[in-house]
Amino acid sequence: MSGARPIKMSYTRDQAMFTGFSDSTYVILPENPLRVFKIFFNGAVFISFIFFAFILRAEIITDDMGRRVEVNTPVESIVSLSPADTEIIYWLGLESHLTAVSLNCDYPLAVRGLDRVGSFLNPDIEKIAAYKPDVVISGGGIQKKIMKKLEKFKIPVLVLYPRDIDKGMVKDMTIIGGLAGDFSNVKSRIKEYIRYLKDASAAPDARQFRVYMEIWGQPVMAVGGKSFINDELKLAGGKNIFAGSKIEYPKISPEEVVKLNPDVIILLYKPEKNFKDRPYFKLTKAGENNNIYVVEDPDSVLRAGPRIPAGVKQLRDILDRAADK
Amino acid sequence: MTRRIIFYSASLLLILAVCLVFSLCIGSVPIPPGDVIKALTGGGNARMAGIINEIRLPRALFAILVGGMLSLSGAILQALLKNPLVDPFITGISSGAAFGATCAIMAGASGLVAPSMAGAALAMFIVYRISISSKTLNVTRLLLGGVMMGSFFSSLIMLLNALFSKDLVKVVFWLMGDLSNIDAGLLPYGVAASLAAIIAAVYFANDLNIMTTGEDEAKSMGVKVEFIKALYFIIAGVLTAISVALSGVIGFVGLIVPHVVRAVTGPDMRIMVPCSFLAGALFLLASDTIARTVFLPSEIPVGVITGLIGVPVFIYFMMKGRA
Repeated sequence: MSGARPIKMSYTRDQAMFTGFSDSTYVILPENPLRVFKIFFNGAVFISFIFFAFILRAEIITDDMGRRVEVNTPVESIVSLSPADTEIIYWLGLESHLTAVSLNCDYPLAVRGLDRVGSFLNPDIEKIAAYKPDVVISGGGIQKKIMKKLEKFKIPVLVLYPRDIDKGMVKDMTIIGGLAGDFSNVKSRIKEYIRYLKDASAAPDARQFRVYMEIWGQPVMAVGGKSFINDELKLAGGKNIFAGSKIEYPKISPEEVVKLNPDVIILLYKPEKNFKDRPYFKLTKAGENNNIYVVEDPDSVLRAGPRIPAGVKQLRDILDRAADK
Repeated sequence: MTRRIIFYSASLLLILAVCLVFSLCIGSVPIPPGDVIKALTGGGNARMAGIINEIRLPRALFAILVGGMLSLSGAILQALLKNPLVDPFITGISSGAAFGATCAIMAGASGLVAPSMAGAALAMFIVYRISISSKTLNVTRLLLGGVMMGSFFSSLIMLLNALFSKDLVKVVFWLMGDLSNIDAGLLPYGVAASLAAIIAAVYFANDLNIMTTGEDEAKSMGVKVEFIKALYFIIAGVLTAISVALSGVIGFVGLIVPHVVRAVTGPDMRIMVPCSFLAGALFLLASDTIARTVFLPSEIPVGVITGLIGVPVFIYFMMKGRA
């Protein structure tokens, strides 16, 4: 047939979940000289468009707060207020859709050229509204408040902060990847993330060190069991001595560290010069064996983004060094 | 008079000593008093001795030092400015220190003692300068200037936080005041400064007593009014600066304790100086012991406890009509 050539736009099941298509759709390009067919096919295209637009406009995404957010996809402009989410957007190759970011977004380097809309904790609502983005992606915690303000401007806000580094991260990557309506790259990048995470993990038979991870020293704050950093340590082959804490980052009594007596101490920030002399470090097995370490690149550990495998690798390298002693 | 000073000071010292031993006994690992004494005298289990001598004792001594300094500073400023609402932080010095610490945190520095001392010194100098009118130190200006500089530095801190919000949490925690991770090496300097301050404050205490009747009367009685005002402002300022640099902003101690002490001993500064130091020390030691033990394995900020205990005690004394 010289004329109508049906082009099948097929969707995999995963994609269908996010675009709202439950079945495959045909878009037919009319080239037929016969008018009647032309009209028919034009009508078909038109109806498909309506269908397309209707379905896509109505896309409902459930974010990490359990809110159901209506987003018009495919989106053209995204504003990201969280450094971790910005990193995910770049990781998935969707940076062409990124309109503006927060002052705190500093990775990858390419992000430097983008417009800024205030800081992570204090975003400039008016400036964001002026961009009229199709969607704003914000982080968790203190940022949750922002969404209420932005919703007044009828700007959809997705609150995305993975609470764990495998399933939660994949879910959020899939949500962000689905926004642009182009899955060609997204799936392989997610697979890549999972592979990197596996590569970074310790062998299952590796020695299990009991580890104290300190996130800040003034006051003394530990990494608790509810934090995703706890999962990173687990993958790296360590056992968090504060895994039982129900708080993400509990402010703890330094004596408690002495009592729990960890094999290894890992600091997730740049400490003072003679930090190894802190008494509650010295009085532990870690102190006796000089197994006190500082992570070189804290951001890759502390940000729930695509650099987590690098963070896990750092923790694992530290534990390997401890094991070699 | 001397006998009264000795009586009050000795009683407070005794209570402080008992409280100290008790404080050393409790924590994540309970240690019986016998073992505490053994550890202090260099014997006993090495681990327990480590916990006592390297963790609990320095912290307790810090609490004693900081509590004493804040309380003494408050007592001096209340007498100097003749205002019962004054506390050490009204001089703007604590905000200056906080500003210094905030800059250091933002810049990624880890030692906060030196920058906060620098901030405190800057604030103290500015407040002192703007309080001088026609070559005399105007105490009303001192009070107003202090409040203004405090607000100014607080605004600067907020500005920094708005611009570089990444470290906001760290700043907020620092501002809350905390004794959990102290540098025991700084203890001797604190002790030396406190002793010098106490001796100077006691030595000129009678002049300060006379000045409460009015500056002109004091002048006619031969008191070097300008010298006394400057001296006591500097003593109070230095004490506040050191305590804030060591432990952040711990509230209520410098406001409440001097009032309670005055209710018991009367307003004579010769008794007030040693007694408010000791009572402040006792109060902060007790508060910090509670803060670090009640919610184990977690700690709560000591400022929460000083407020929760201090305010009801203060109201009790006020209701009795003696404060």
